[in-house]
Amino acid sequence: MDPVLSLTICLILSGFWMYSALHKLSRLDWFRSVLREYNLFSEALIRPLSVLVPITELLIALGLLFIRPAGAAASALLFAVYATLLVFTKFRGITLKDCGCNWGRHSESNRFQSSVSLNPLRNVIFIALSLVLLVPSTYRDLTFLDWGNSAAAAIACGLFALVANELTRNFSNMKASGYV
Amino acid sequence: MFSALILSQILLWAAVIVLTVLCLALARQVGVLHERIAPAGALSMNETLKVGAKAPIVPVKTLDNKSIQIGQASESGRSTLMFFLSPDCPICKNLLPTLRSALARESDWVDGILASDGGLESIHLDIQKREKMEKTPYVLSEALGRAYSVAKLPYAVLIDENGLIASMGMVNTREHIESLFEAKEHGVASIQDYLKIGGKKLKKNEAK
Repeated sequence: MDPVLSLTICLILSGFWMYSALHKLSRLDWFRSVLREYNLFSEALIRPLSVLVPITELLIALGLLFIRPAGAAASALLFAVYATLLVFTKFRGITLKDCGCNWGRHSESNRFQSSVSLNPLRNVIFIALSLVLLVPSTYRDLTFLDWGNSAAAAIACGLFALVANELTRNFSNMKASGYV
Repeated sequence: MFSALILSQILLWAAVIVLTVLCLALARQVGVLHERIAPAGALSMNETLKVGAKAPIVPVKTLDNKSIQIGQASESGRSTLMFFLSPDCPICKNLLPTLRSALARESDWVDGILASDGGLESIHLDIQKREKMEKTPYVLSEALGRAYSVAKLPYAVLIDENGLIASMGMVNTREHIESLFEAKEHGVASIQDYLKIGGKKLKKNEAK
């Protein structure tokens, strides 16, 4: 695999984990309420877990940048854990108002049930991306243009994700209001 | 030639990013617009409960820890207007001052109750305090919403002095809240029913 491709994926995943971790750390109360909603962890566990999870995400973000194979494996594993947790919660019949998957954007609306179910699918895509990073990439010297392309592609992908997130949220709200 | 390619590459990436930012802004504007435009229709009828039927009796606790039985016949002969809201429903919040003034105006025969389905108590207390509705009982109960089949917010149910449902429906404006009182006064299920009856009477009178 061309190193530019793996660098781009690496930047995308690292950016995702970094933003996710910082968001959780800056809104610990919100994240604790999200963990409580899962009805899976005891109250004594929620406080340490609310710090441990974002720190793990932060370590994965750094791992992806500096120790790529380990970071990629950890990233795939954590995405898999999240996807399993979402599916398991659904099977337990618990309807989450906010699964904590969309940086809390959807907690503003308690009508986000339809797109919550899309999150395991999104995680599967991210698992696949993380696993792609485990494929050894061919070696070549990266030029300034390569780095520029990778950075721009990562920024564009981040923005695409935000647009998709916003459109899904609008659609859910409109569906709940009976417009669509 | 090579510089031209680099320049075109940079320009293309810039175009992609600017376009995506514009898309994001557009998507957000659609979301904001949707939240600001109130859903049309004064009253959405309940599929489970019927106007005139006995209101489901649900024991609940208010935020100030008082136990009350919602839906019971009132000994004092007063009706109860239950207003269902959610902290993340902008229309509900906009409607609270209107509700407060409507309840004050009709205070000789109706009591108000604010109801929500859960969430942090502090948020609800803050809403109650900010809207100066501390005297209005505020209850948090998912069972209450389920018992009254509240599917969309803001929703209101008027229970009369005998514990019967006098009128109910989705309320988005002052007119919608007042329509609940009007419906009870005229003994009809909804303002739509009143208009239908009125229309028929009008036609009969015209025929005579």
